[in-house]
Amino acid sequence: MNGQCKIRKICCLSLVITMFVFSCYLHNCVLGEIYDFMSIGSNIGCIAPSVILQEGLDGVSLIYANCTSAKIIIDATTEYKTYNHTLSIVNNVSENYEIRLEVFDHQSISRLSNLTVILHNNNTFVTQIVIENGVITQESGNFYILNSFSTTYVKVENLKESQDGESHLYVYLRMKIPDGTIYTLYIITFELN
Amino acid sequence: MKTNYRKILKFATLLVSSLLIATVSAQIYDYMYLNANVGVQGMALAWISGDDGTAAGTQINGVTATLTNLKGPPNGTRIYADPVRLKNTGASQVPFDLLIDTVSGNTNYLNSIMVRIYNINSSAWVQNVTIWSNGGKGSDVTGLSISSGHVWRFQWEITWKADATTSHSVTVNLKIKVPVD
Repeated sequence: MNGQCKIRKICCLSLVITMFVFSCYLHNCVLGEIYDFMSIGSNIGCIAPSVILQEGLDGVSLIYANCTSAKIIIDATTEYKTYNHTLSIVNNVSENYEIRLEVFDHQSISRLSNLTVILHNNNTFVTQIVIENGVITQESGNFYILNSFSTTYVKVENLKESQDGESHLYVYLRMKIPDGTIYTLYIITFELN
Repeated sequence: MKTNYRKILKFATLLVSSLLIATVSAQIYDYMYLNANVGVQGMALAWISGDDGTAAGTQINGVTATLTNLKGPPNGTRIYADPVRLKNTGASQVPFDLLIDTVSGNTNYLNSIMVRIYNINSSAWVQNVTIWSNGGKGSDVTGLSISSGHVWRFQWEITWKADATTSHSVTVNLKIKVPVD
Protein backbone atom coordinates (compact mmCIF):
# COMPACT_ATOMS: atom_id res chain seq x y z
CA MET A 1 0.00 0.00 0.00
CA ASN A 2 2.81 2.32 0.96
CA GLY A 3 4.77 1.33 -2.17
CA GLN A 4 1.80 2.03 -4.42
CA CYS A 5 1.43 5.46 -2.89
CA LYS A 6 5.09 6.27 -3.54
CA ILE A 7 4.87 5.13 -7.16
CA ARG A 8 1.79 7.27 -7.62
CA LYS A 9 3.57 10.30 -6.14
CA ILE A 10 6.58 9.74 -8.40
CA CYS A 11 4.34 9.45 -11.42
CA CYS A 12 2.53 12.66 -10.54
CA LEU A 13 5.79 14.52 -10.00
CA SER A 14 7.20 13.26 -13.31
CA LEU A 15 4.07 14.37 -15.09
CA VAL A 16 4.24 17.84 -13.55
CA ILE A 17 7.94 18.22 -14.48
CA THR A 18 7.29 17.01 -18.03
CA MET A 19 4.41 19.42 -18.44
CA PHE A 20 6.53 22.28 -17.08
CA VAL A 21 9.45 21.57 -19.43
CA PHE A 22 7.11 21.13 -22.37
CA SER A 23 5.30 24.38 -21.65
CA CYS A 24 8.64 26.25 -21.38
CA TYR A 25 9.78 24.79 -24.70
CA LEU A 26 6.49 25.58 -26.37
CA HIS A 27 6.56 29.11 -24.99
CA ASN A 28 10.01 29.83 -26.41
CA CYS A 29 9.32 28.05 -29.63
CA VAL A 30 6.10 29.86 -30.41
CA LEU A 31 7.19 33.34 -29.31
CA GLY A 32 10.52 33.04 -31.17
CA GLU A 33 8.75 32.66 -34.48
CA ILE A 34 6.75 35.85 -34.49
CA TYR A 35 8.17 38.59 -36.68
CA ASP A 36 7.12 41.84 -38.25
CA PHE A 37 8.28 42.43 -41.81
CA MET A 38 9.04 45.64 -43.63
CA SER A 39 10.11 45.76 -47.24
CA ILE A 40 12.01 47.93 -49.65
CA GLY A 41 11.75 47.49 -53.39
CA SER A 42 13.63 49.22 -56.16
CA ASN A 43 13.43 49.36 -59.91
CA ILE A 44 16.88 49.98 -61.32
CA GLY A 45 17.37 51.00 -64.92
CA CYS A 46 20.32 51.55 -67.20
CA ILE A 47 20.64 55.04 -68.70
CA ALA A 48 22.76 56.60 -71.42
CA PRO A 49 25.70 58.43 -69.82
CA SER A 50 25.28 62.20 -69.51
CA VAL A 51 29.04 62.76 -69.38
CA ILE A 52 31.34 60.84 -71.68
CA LEU A 53 35.10 60.42 -72.10
CA GLN A 54 36.73 61.15 -75.44
CA GLU A 55 40.22 60.84 -76.77
CA GLY A 56 42.33 63.91 -76.06
CA LEU A 57 44.33 65.92 -78.61
CA ASP A 58 47.59 64.35 -77.43
CA GLY A 59 46.54 60.94 -78.80
CA VAL A 60 47.54 59.06 -75.68
CA SER A 61 44.15 57.81 -74.51
CA LEU A 62 42.17 54.66 -75.08
CA ILE A 63 38.41 54.90 -74.65
CA TYR A 64 36.38 51.83 -73.68
CA ALA A 65 32.78 50.82 -74.45
CA ASN A 66 30.09 53.43 -73.81
CA CYS A 67 32.80 56.06 -73.23
CA THR A 68 32.57 55.63 -69.47
CA SER A 69 36.08 54.36 -68.78
CA ALA A 70 39.48 55.07 -70.30
CA LYS A 71 43.19 54.40 -70.14
CA ILE A 72 45.83 57.09 -70.59
CA ILE A 73 49.18 55.69 -71.75
CA ILE A 74 52.08 58.11 -71.44
CA ASP A 75 55.82 57.85 -71.91
CA ALA A 76 57.78 59.00 -68.89
CA THR A 77 61.45 59.91 -69.11
CA THR A 78 64.12 61.38 -66.89
CA GLU A 79 63.20 64.76 -68.39
CA TYR A 80 60.09 66.73 -67.41
CA LYS A 81 57.28 66.20 -69.89
CA THR A 82 53.83 67.82 -70.06
CA TYR A 83 50.71 66.65 -71.93
CA ASN A 84 47.97 69.29 -72.04
CA HIS A 85 45.10 67.26 -73.45
CA THR A 86 45.44 63.59 -72.57
CA LEU A 87 41.69 63.04 -72.24
CA SER A 88 38.49 65.01 -72.87
CA ILE A 89 35.52 64.94 -70.50
CA VAL A 90 32.37 66.01 -72.31
CA ASN A 91 29.09 67.06 -70.68
CA ASN A 92 26.23 66.30 -73.08
CA VAL A 93 23.34 67.56 -70.96
CA SER A 94 21.98 70.88 -69.71
CA GLU A 95 22.92 70.25 -66.06
CA ASN A 96 26.22 71.35 -64.57
CA TYR A 97 28.35 68.75 -62.85
CA GLU A 98 31.00 69.00 -60.18
CA ILE A 99 33.84 66.68 -61.10
CA ARG A 100 37.11 65.62 -59.54
CA LEU A 101 39.71 62.87 -59.76
CA GLU A 102 40.46 60.49 -56.86
CA VAL A 103 43.24 57.91 -56.68
CA PHE A 104 41.85 54.60 -55.40
CA ASP A 105 44.81 52.32 -56.19
CA HIS A 106 48.34 52.41 -57.64
CA GLN A 107 51.30 50.24 -58.62
CA SER A 108 55.04 50.95 -58.77
CA ILE A 109 54.84 54.70 -58.30
CA SER A 110 58.02 54.94 -56.24
CA ARG A 111 60.05 55.35 -59.45
CA LEU A 112 58.14 58.54 -60.37
CA SER A 113 60.01 61.68 -59.40
CA ASN A 114 57.21 64.02 -60.29
CA LEU A 115 53.66 64.07 -61.66
CA THR A 116 50.79 66.55 -61.48
CA VAL A 117 47.32 65.84 -62.91
CA ILE A 118 45.13 68.86 -63.59
CA LEU A 119 41.55 69.42 -64.83
CA HIS A 120 41.20 72.48 -67.04
CA ASN A 121 39.36 74.16 -69.89
CA ASN A 122 42.37 76.19 -71.03
CA ASN A 123 41.28 79.02 -68.71
CA THR A 124 40.54 77.48 -65.33
CA PHE A 125 43.01 74.97 -63.86
CA VAL A 126 42.34 72.80 -60.79
CA THR A 127 45.10 70.51 -59.53
CA GLN A 128 43.83 67.02 -58.69
CA ILE A 129 46.70 64.57 -58.11
CA VAL A 130 50.32 65.18 -57.16
CA ILE A 131 53.22 62.71 -56.88
CA GLU A 132 56.56 63.93 -55.53
CA ASN A 133 59.65 61.76 -55.10
CA GLY A 134 57.69 58.53 -55.48
CA VAL A 135 54.98 59.46 -52.99
CA ILE A 136 51.41 60.60 -53.58
CA THR A 137 51.14 63.94 -51.80
CA GLN A 138 47.66 64.76 -53.12
CA GLU A 139 45.14 62.00 -53.83
CA SER A 140 42.24 64.18 -55.00
CA GLY A 141 41.43 67.78 -55.68
CA ASN A 142 38.69 70.32 -55.26
CA PHE A 143 35.59 69.93 -57.37
CA TYR A 144 35.80 71.48 -60.79
CA ILE A 145 32.59 72.80 -62.38
CA LEU A 146 31.85 71.09 -65.67
CA ASN A 147 29.26 73.38 -67.19
CA SER A 148 26.37 72.18 -69.32
CA PHE A 149 27.35 71.14 -72.85
CA SER A 150 31.02 71.87 -72.20
CA THR A 151 34.32 69.98 -72.31
CA THR A 152 37.16 69.84 -69.88
CA TYR A 153 40.56 68.25 -70.29
CA VAL A 154 42.96 66.16 -68.26
CA LYS A 155 46.47 67.60 -68.20
CA VAL A 156 49.55 65.67 -67.07
CA GLU A 157 52.23 68.14 -66.03
CA ASN A 158 55.92 67.72 -65.27
CA LEU A 159 55.97 63.96 -65.53
CA LYS A 160 59.42 62.61 -64.70
CA GLU A 161 60.72 59.16 -63.78
CA SER A 162 63.83 58.31 -61.80
CA GLN A 163 64.28 54.85 -63.31
CA ASP A 164 62.86 52.67 -66.10
CA GLY A 165 59.69 50.72 -65.47
CA GLU A 166 55.91 50.91 -65.66
CA SER A 167 53.64 52.58 -63.14
CA HIS A 168 49.86 52.57 -62.84
CA LEU A 169 47.50 55.00 -61.21
CA TYR A 170 43.88 53.90 -60.85
CA VAL A 171 41.62 56.90 -60.57
CA TYR A 172 37.92 57.58 -60.16
CA LEU A 173 36.37 60.44 -62.06
CA ARG A 174 33.69 61.44 -59.54
CA MET A 175 30.77 63.49 -60.88
CA LYS A 176 27.85 64.98 -59.00
CA ILE A 177 25.11 67.45 -59.61
CA PRO A 178 25.90 70.53 -57.47
CA ASP A 179 24.46 70.41 -53.94
CA GLY A 180 23.27 66.84 -54.41
CA THR A 181 24.48 63.58 -52.96
CA ILE A 182 24.13 61.48 -56.08
CA TYR A 183 27.44 60.57 -57.67
CA THR A 184 28.66 58.75 -60.73
CA LEU A 185 32.10 57.15 -60.86
CA TYR A 186 34.10 56.34 -64.00
CA ILE A 187 37.45 54.56 -63.87
CA ILE A 188 40.46 56.16 -65.56
CA THR A 189 43.76 54.28 -65.59
CA PHE A 190 47.05 56.12 -66.03
CA GLU A 191 49.76 53.86 -67.45
CA LEU A 192 53.14 55.58 -67.18
CA ASN A 193 56.04 53.76 -68.84
CA MET B 1 -52.63 -14.89 -45.04
CA LYS B 2 -53.47 -12.20 -42.58
CA THR B 3 -51.91 -8.83 -43.11
CA ASN B 4 -50.25 -7.51 -39.97
CA TYR B 5 -50.75 -3.79 -40.27
CA ARG B 6 -49.12 -3.19 -36.95
CA LYS B 7 -45.89 -4.78 -38.06
CA ILE B 8 -45.97 -2.93 -41.35
CA LEU B 9 -46.49 0.34 -39.54
CA LYS B 10 -43.63 -0.40 -37.19
CA PHE B 11 -41.42 -1.36 -40.10
CA ALA B 12 -42.32 1.77 -42.05
CA THR B 13 -41.66 3.96 -39.03
CA LEU B 14 -38.30 2.30 -38.59
CA LEU B 15 -37.49 2.80 -42.26
CA VAL B 16 -38.39 6.49 -42.22
CA SER B 17 -36.41 6.97 -39.02
CA SER B 18 -33.39 5.26 -40.61
CA LEU B 19 -33.63 7.44 -43.67
CA LEU B 20 -33.91 10.53 -41.54
CA ILE B 21 -30.93 9.52 -39.47
CA ALA B 22 -28.88 8.70 -42.58
CA THR B 23 -29.72 12.03 -44.19
CA VAL B 24 -29.03 14.02 -41.10
CA SER B 25 -25.82 12.09 -40.39
CA ALA B 26 -24.41 13.19 -43.71
CA GLN B 27 -24.70 16.76 -42.54
CA ILE B 28 -23.12 16.39 -39.19
CA TYR B 29 -20.03 18.43 -38.66
CA ASP B 30 -17.61 18.96 -35.90
CA TYR B 31 -16.72 22.52 -35.14
CA MET B 32 -13.68 23.99 -33.50
CA TYR B 33 -13.30 27.65 -32.68
CA LEU B 34 -10.34 29.99 -32.97
CA ASN B 35 -11.14 33.43 -31.67
CA ALA B 36 -8.59 36.18 -32.20
CA ASN B 37 -8.73 39.83 -31.39
CA VAL B 38 -6.60 41.46 -34.06
CA GLY B 39 -5.46 44.94 -33.14
CA VAL B 40 -3.30 47.44 -34.93
CA GLN B 41 0.12 47.72 -33.37
CA GLY B 42 2.45 50.43 -34.54
CA MET B 43 5.94 49.32 -35.49
CA ALA B 44 8.91 51.02 -33.92
CA LEU B 45 10.77 51.12 -37.25
CA ALA B 46 9.67 53.44 -40.01
CA TRP B 47 10.90 54.31 -43.49
CA ILE B 48 11.47 57.97 -44.23
CA SER B 49 12.58 59.62 -47.43
CA GLY B 50 16.19 60.83 -47.61
CA ASP B 51 17.83 63.84 -49.22
CA ASP B 52 17.94 62.00 -52.57
CA GLY B 53 14.38 60.73 -52.19
CA THR B 54 12.97 62.90 -54.96
CA ALA B 55 15.62 61.92 -57.50
CA ALA B 56 15.39 58.26 -56.48
CA GLY B 57 11.59 58.29 -56.74
CA THR B 58 11.16 57.18 -53.15
CA GLN B 59 7.58 56.28 -52.24
CA ILE B 60 6.63 55.16 -48.75
CA ASN B 61 3.41 53.35 -48.01
CA GLY B 62 3.29 52.06 -44.44
CA VAL B 63 5.95 49.42 -43.97
CA THR B 64 6.85 49.40 -47.66
CA ALA B 65 9.32 51.73 -49.32
CA THR B 66 9.74 51.73 -53.08
CA LEU B 67 12.57 53.38 -54.99
CA THR B 68 11.10 53.83 -58.44
CA ASN B 69 13.80 55.81 -60.19
CA LEU B 70 17.27 54.40 -59.51
CA LYS B 71 19.40 54.52 -62.63
CA GLY B 72 23.02 54.14 -63.64
CA PRO B 73 25.17 54.32 -66.77
CA PRO B 74 26.84 51.26 -68.29
CA ASN B 75 30.36 50.54 -67.04
CA GLY B 76 30.13 53.28 -64.44
CA THR B 77 28.98 53.31 -60.83
CA ARG B 78 26.02 55.44 -59.76
CA ILE B 79 25.81 56.25 -56.06
CA TYR B 80 22.60 57.41 -54.40
CA ALA B 81 23.91 58.44 -51.00
CA ASP B 82 20.58 59.08 -49.29
CA PRO B 83 17.47 57.81 -51.10
CA VAL B 84 15.75 56.28 -48.06
CA ARG B 85 16.24 56.11 -44.30
CA LEU B 86 15.18 53.76 -41.53
CA LYS B 87 14.20 55.35 -38.24
CA ASN B 88 13.64 53.76 -34.85
CA THR B 89 10.72 55.74 -33.46
CA GLY B 90 10.43 53.55 -30.38
CA ALA B 91 11.81 53.91 -26.88
CA SER B 92 14.14 50.95 -27.03
CA GLN B 93 16.70 49.35 -29.29
CA VAL B 94 15.29 47.23 -32.13
CA PRO B 95 17.14 44.19 -33.47
CA PHE B 96 16.47 43.13 -37.05
CA ASP B 97 17.73 41.12 -40.01
CA LEU B 98 18.06 42.44 -43.54
CA LEU B 99 17.01 39.79 -46.05
CA ILE B 100 17.66 39.87 -49.80
CA ASP B 101 14.34 38.57 -51.04
CA THR B 102 14.61 38.74 -54.85
CA VAL B 103 16.82 40.20 -57.55
CA SER B 104 15.17 39.75 -60.95
CA GLY B 105 15.18 41.14 -64.47
CA ASN B 106 18.20 41.65 -66.75
CA THR B 107 20.70 40.49 -64.16
CA ASN B 108 23.05 39.19 -66.92
CA TYR B 109 23.93 42.80 -67.61
CA LEU B 110 24.30 43.76 -63.99
CA ASN B 111 27.77 43.96 -62.49
CA SER B 112 26.94 44.77 -58.89
CA ILE B 113 24.54 46.41 -56.46
CA MET B 114 25.82 47.35 -53.05
CA VAL B 115 23.89 48.93 -50.18
CA ARG B 116 26.00 50.68 -47.58
CA ILE B 117 24.30 51.57 -44.32
CA TYR B 118 25.36 54.61 -42.30
CA ASN B 119 24.16 55.90 -38.95
CA ILE B 120 23.16 59.53 -39.45
CA ASN B 121 23.21 60.27 -35.69
CA SER B 122 26.80 59.18 -35.23
CA SER B 123 27.99 59.61 -38.85
CA ALA B 124 29.36 56.09 -38.56
CA TRP B 125 29.41 53.31 -41.10
CA VAL B 126 27.21 50.42 -40.00
CA GLN B 127 27.22 47.66 -42.60
CA ASN B 128 27.81 46.84 -46.27
CA VAL B 129 25.22 44.61 -47.91
CA THR B 130 26.11 43.05 -51.25
CA ILE B 131 22.83 42.70 -53.09
CA TRP B 132 24.32 41.40 -56.35
CA SER B 133 27.90 40.52 -57.28
CA ASN B 134 29.75 38.00 -59.47
CA GLY B 135 26.53 36.90 -61.16
CA GLY B 136 24.66 36.03 -57.99
CA LYS B 137 22.62 37.29 -55.10
CA GLY B 138 24.45 38.33 -51.97
CA SER B 139 23.91 37.05 -48.46
CA ASP B 140 21.37 38.15 -45.88
CA VAL B 141 22.67 40.24 -43.01
CA THR B 142 21.53 39.21 -39.56
CA GLY B 143 22.02 40.64 -36.11
CA LEU B 144 21.63 44.33 -36.92
CA SER B 145 20.33 46.57 -34.15
CA ILE B 146 19.25 50.21 -34.28
CA SER B 147 19.14 52.35 -31.14
CA SER B 148 16.11 54.32 -30.04
CA GLY B 149 15.73 57.57 -31.95
CA HIS B 150 18.49 56.73 -34.40
CA VAL B 151 18.21 57.11 -38.16
CA TRP B 152 20.13 55.02 -40.68
CA ARG B 153 20.56 55.96 -44.30
CA PHE B 154 20.75 53.30 -47.00
CA GLN B 155 23.25 54.25 -49.71
CA TRP B 156 22.70 52.43 -53.02
CA GLU B 157 25.59 51.83 -55.42
CA ILE B 158 24.74 50.46 -58.86
CA THR B 159 27.20 49.25 -61.50
CA TRP B 160 25.99 47.99 -64.87
CA LYS B 161 28.24 46.00 -67.19
CA ALA B 162 29.76 47.68 -70.26
CA ASP B 163 27.33 45.97 -72.65
CA ALA B 164 24.19 47.07 -70.78
CA THR B 165 21.78 49.30 -72.67
CA THR B 166 18.88 51.56 -71.79
CA SER B 167 16.47 48.66 -72.36
CA HIS B 168 17.84 46.77 -69.38
CA SER B 169 16.53 46.92 -65.84
CA VAL B 170 16.38 44.88 -62.67
CA THR B 171 14.06 44.75 -59.69
CA VAL B 172 15.32 44.28 -56.16
CA ASN B 173 13.23 43.40 -53.12
CA LEU B 174 14.66 43.49 -49.62
CA LYS B 175 12.93 42.64 -46.36
CA ILE B 176 13.48 43.82 -42.84
CA LYS B 177 12.66 41.06 -40.35
CA VAL B 178 11.92 42.33 -36.87
CA PRO B 179 11.30 39.88 -34.01
CA VAL B 180 8.21 40.69 -31.95
CA ASP B 181 8.72 40.88 -28.19
